[in-house]
Amino acid sequence: MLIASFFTACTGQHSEKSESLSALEKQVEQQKDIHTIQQLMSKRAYYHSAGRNDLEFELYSTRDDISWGQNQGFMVGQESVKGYYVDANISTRKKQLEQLSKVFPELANEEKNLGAGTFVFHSTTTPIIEIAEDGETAKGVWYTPGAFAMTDNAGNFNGLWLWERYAVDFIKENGEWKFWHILVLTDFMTGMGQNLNPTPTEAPIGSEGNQEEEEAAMPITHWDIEVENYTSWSPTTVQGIAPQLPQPYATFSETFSYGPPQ
Amino acid sequence: MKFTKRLNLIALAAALLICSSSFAQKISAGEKALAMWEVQNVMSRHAYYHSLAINLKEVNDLWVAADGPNAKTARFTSPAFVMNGLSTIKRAYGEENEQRKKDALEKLSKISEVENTPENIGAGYEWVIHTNTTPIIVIADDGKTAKGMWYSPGIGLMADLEGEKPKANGTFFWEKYAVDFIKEDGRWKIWHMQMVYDYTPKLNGDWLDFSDKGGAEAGERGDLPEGFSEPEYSYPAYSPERAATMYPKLPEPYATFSETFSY
Repeated sequence: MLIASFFTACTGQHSEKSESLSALEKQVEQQKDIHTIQQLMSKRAYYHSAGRNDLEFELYSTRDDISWGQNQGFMVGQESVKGYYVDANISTRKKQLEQLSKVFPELANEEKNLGAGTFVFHSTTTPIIEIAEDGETAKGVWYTPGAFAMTDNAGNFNGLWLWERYAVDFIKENGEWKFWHILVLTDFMTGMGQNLNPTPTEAPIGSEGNQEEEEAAMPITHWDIEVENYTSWSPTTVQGIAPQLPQPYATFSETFSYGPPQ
Repeated sequence: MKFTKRLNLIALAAALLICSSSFAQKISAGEKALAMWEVQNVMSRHAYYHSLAINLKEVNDLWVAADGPNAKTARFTSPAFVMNGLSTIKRAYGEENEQRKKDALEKLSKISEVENTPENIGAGYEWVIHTNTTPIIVIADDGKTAKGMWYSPGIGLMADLEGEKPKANGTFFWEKYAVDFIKEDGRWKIWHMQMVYDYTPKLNGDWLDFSDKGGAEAGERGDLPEGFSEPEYSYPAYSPERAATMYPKLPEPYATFSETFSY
């Protein structure tokens, strides 16, 4: 009888082991997805700091309901997001170099010098990443302290501190994680070394911070969807809970979206 | 007969040995790895809640349960004070913060067009952002507790409501967080949280003026009300005279909480 109970114990263990192996596989898969998403988000930051918005765009899904949002609204769809985020950026970089090469004649107006005089960096910190139970989508938020500096047309170097939040929906496409909806909410920006008063309250409306020159190059006439997603800080701003923080979820239809309102 | 008895005893011992090893309090490597991210998510939630000044919600959602077994030993420590027990944390960090938001709005409404109505609560108050970077997260082998440490560059924007018009004040924060987490009902909760400041210059251009150390954290105060005590060690903020100090201790791998130190 005791020998029988020994075998029962062993058989029970096999079944438990098989269950725990399956749980382990799921945990490893989730872990891998979380790491991949963090790396995707970081890769985007490094591309952006190198001014390679074209490479960033390749990280987006090929779906036509992709979106890019900021405090004031959304750009929606492949054509719109690319036009705003990539084409405008290329045109801006060309115009910046053209101007800069006039101030610094030793700087040739050649493609290899694109991006000269400009520095932009958005870090990705404070992550909350939730993978859907079905493994098809994911949501993440990050806090992104950043810095942006550029040389103006007179040759002066100016800088800004940027304090922003990213809220992002990801979708798996052909087994690869891709950006679906990116929402950038600006809390605050101020000139480097400057006092806080008068308070700068307007969020940047260019490609994350280079709005002055970008507006000169290609003024933003409209957002595809104009909506107040967020209000930057001022002594009189009422704080709202935005963005919503990701919560564990089973499938995308059961959660909210960081894309435009439907 | 004797031989059969002996065989049975050996079988029993073997079964007990195998069973006891499978019931040993040790979580799998996969569970541990995933738990590290769960802990990171909790710490990040703390940052977002705090940035919205919804400290009371943070205490209710992210800290140990008020009526649970860990409430009495919960602790929130800074170089100036220790809040002992969840009831103290809830009162001083949570409820009093709600009152301070109302007080700020009342003041703001007297010098601006913002009305003193419930939907405007939060206006005229602080906007404090603490990022979580540079994480070290260690999950106990038994999966019941965890320790984490982060470097937290941050910014605090505060309304100055003393003049005729509201103005902005601000402080940079360069500080460390060291936190013990404990699992309650399957969810990671904040149990002991400690923050120490390295450098908190005001955002007025005088970053290197060490006589003016910038603003204070929400809930921080000079006096010690009920439930508060002085910290055993007060980590000094940077000054040209400060010696470099490794503090708090970095989390190290451990089997169960009684085998490690506490924050």
